[in-house]
Amino acid sequence: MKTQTLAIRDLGVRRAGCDILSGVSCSLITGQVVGVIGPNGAGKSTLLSAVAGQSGFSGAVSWGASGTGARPKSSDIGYMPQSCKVTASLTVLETVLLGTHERLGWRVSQSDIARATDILAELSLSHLASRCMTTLSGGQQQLVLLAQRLVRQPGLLVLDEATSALDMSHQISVLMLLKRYVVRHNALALMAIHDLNIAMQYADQLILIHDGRLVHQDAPENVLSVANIRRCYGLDVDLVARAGGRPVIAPRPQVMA
Amino acid sequence: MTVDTRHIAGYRRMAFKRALALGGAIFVMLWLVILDLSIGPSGMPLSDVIDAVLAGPDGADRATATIIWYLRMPQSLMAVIVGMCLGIAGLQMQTILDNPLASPFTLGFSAAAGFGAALSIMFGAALPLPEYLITPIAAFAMTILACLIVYGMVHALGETPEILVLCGIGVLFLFQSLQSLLQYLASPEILQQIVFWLFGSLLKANWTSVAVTSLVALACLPFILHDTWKLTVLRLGDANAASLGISVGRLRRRSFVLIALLTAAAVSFVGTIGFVGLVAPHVAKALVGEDHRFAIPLSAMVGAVILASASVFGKLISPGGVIPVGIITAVAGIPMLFLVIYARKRRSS
Amino acid sequence: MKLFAKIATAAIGAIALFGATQAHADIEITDVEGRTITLEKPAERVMLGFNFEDFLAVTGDGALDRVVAISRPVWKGWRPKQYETYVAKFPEIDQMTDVGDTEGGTFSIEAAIAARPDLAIMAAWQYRALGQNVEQIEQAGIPVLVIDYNAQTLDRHLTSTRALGKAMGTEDRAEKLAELYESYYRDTLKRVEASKVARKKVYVELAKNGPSEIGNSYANGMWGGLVDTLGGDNIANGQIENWGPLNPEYVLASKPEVIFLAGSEWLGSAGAVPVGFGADPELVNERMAAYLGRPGWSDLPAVQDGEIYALYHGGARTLSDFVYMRMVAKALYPDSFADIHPRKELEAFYADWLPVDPDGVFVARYVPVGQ
Repeated sequence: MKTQTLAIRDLGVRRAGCDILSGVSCSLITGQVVGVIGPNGAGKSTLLSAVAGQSGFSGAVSWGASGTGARPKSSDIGYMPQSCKVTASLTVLETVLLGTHERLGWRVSQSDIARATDILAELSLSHLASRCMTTLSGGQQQLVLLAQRLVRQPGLLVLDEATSALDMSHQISVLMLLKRYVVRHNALALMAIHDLNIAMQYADQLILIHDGRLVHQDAPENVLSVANIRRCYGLDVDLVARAGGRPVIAPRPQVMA
Repeated sequence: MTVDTRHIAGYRRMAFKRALALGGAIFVMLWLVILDLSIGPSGMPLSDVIDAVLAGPDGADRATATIIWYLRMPQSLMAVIVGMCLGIAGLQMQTILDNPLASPFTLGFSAAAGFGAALSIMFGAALPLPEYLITPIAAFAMTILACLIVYGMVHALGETPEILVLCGIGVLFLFQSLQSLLQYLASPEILQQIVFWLFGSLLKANWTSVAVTSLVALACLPFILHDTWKLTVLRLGDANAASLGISVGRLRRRSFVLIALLTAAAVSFVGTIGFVGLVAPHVAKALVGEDHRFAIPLSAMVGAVILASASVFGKLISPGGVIPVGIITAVAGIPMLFLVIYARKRRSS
Repeated sequence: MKLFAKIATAAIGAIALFGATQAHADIEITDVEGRTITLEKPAERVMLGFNFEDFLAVTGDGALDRVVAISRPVWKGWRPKQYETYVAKFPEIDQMTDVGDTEGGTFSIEAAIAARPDLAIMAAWQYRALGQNVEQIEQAGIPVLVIDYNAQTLDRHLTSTRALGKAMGTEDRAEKLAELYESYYRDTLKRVEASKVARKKVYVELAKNGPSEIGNSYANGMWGGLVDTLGGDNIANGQIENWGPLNPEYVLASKPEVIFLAGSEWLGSAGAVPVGFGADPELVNERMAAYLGRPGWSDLPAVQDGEIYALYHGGARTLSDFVYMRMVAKALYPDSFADIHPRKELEAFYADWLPVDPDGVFVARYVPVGQ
């Protein structure tokens, strides 16, 4: 499978006279999970929304072999926006099937259902297959919606807070699943991550957004330096070394004044 | 992969049950049509009805032939077609507005149609066309005008459900006040005619109205069916639908135009028959869920069933058979709505 | 002689042939809307929509035996006491099929067709209200004859009467009635011409719901048309299209010199002026007095001169409406009509042409209370 490249050149988003994002440029190849980190309001969601083609921007986003090419098509993208709570009384299986709605005919074929149930199994959601969406918790809904994006087998996954409602073990298993996915399908996963330790341990690369600008793009241990964290998050931390792996970020205890 | 096959089997079973519900609704509807054909103010026995049907529209007994072929049959068919149009339009409206209280009339279509009818009843004598053609044309034209106004406003202001509802309500009030103005200016005889039109009655049905309404509905059908999966996806919310590659604004606008056409066709000939478009989608969704592959046809069938049973009921309680069917659907629609709400509550608790 | 005999035989043969074909000829009738309908023979099963008394007058004896269906609401509902009077004499009226009322939207085409009439007679306003339902009736093989007395024109009255006569096979009777009506009509106009009295301002009101509600007035038709024909100055002209209530202020400002309160036998209307069959003259007078108690009315010339009259609303748009025409004319031009007594003319008409007696109040002048 050929390597594709997501090339973002000088991307800017301006709204109501304010520059929410400006001059964001980077180049990312498939086969990796890239975390987008940064403090609240830095512009992460805006960036992801722009890359997924859901909002307007200036600059260029291209997806294809060797960094040239057109904007990514909607069939290439699996985008999960921030707030997407489902209130319709559809079952989990039905919801996941809708991920490939463009390909469904009047009768849902055996292979369509099989593909959906496979994804549900991978995310350990099989036992919920016939449950109604409205009866699920926020975290479970999030997983189902992720399954829905994955069943499209997109080349580019753009996930904004796909794991925010999940407990730690689920967050980790989702990240592991995504790592397996990007390797198996030669895809690229671009996801916003709030938990810096998860970002440190499981992302292949990190992009740090601060005040609408891309300030650092590198391997996690390089991006998450004490200096960067202090500058962008305003937080004093210790990096605790771990044998055979990346360090753990430990915020310094605050002193009660 | 026993887990797989269990789920596949489960899914197929669910689809089968839904298809069964749809088949059941069709069966009930056919039964009601037969019943509707057999009942009427002339008190014809069933044997006469069957004879007249077999003899055809040019049968020797002019009286029964006219009654069956030119009076009852168009009325029954009209009940079915109008019920189907309102059922589908109601479901679409509830989907694109994401509002369970929406109906085809929410965005002002019935008010516009009523205004058009009032205009034609008051001033139609000036035009060379016969009155029974002018009123449907005027009602249809005004409904389309309302559609265009809302469409234009939404295009300029934004395509979210909230803006759509606000514009629709604005248009509704506009046409309602214009209609009130006409009612105020009208002489008592004209006023009575207008009010009667607004009740909604199948008595004005004839083969022309059946043909026109069917044609419009058939023309809209391919477009609606094409959007079936997209409408189901829209139920997941705007954000989800957009991220799955659906241009939500275009879908909303497209559906809106189709709803306008269906509603215009439904009410132009028979007047504003309420409640069908509100209740039918709820009953359908209670039976088959949100999958629009099943919900759309079942909504149509339930709409037809409601209207056909209202017609039968009206003939039973008033032997002259002249209670406007719109009043019956309004009166019967309320307990049905309560039933649906109660059933939903029972199921979710 | 031989040639003469030949011609004579030929002539007799031709006449006989002509006579024979005439005996089997269809009856062709042109109704008041200009429509032509064809009947094989005079109608025996009639669906009668309106103008019941006129039908009875034109058809004569056995008229009701030839009626199978009626629009009952416009007879029993609008003229209840008149209906009662006729039912008392002809109980079969109650058994006739009811086809409903086009104005109330309760008309049932099916019931009309199912009664299997061989002719449907309806008033022009019913014809207009039915629209394309008329085609359905004709589809079923039932010809539709339209008559119009509502227009209050001599021409339409006569055409309708003659058309009815032709349809029922009583052309002689119809002709006599038409001539009678026309002669009364022309006599009235002649007397109006001859009068020296100045043009008077007239106000007509339907006294249906009591003095607290303003009843309809009329222009361009019904009572309004009548007043216009007689040269009166109807204050409703220019204010309303056909009928509707006038603004009470306008009525006061117009200072009408003659007021006509049109009443009928409405049931359940507490303040109505109950003119018509079975009416009580004292009650009629009392109810009229109530109307005179309206604010400002005591200053109106009509009230001060005692020019208040009650008229039977059911009398307009019928063959007997010449009586009411002469009543109005007498009120407007008393000098020309001093020798005319409309009440007596009404009684004569009923005696000659209708099977019931007009017991009740049909035309009355207000008698001030206490006199």
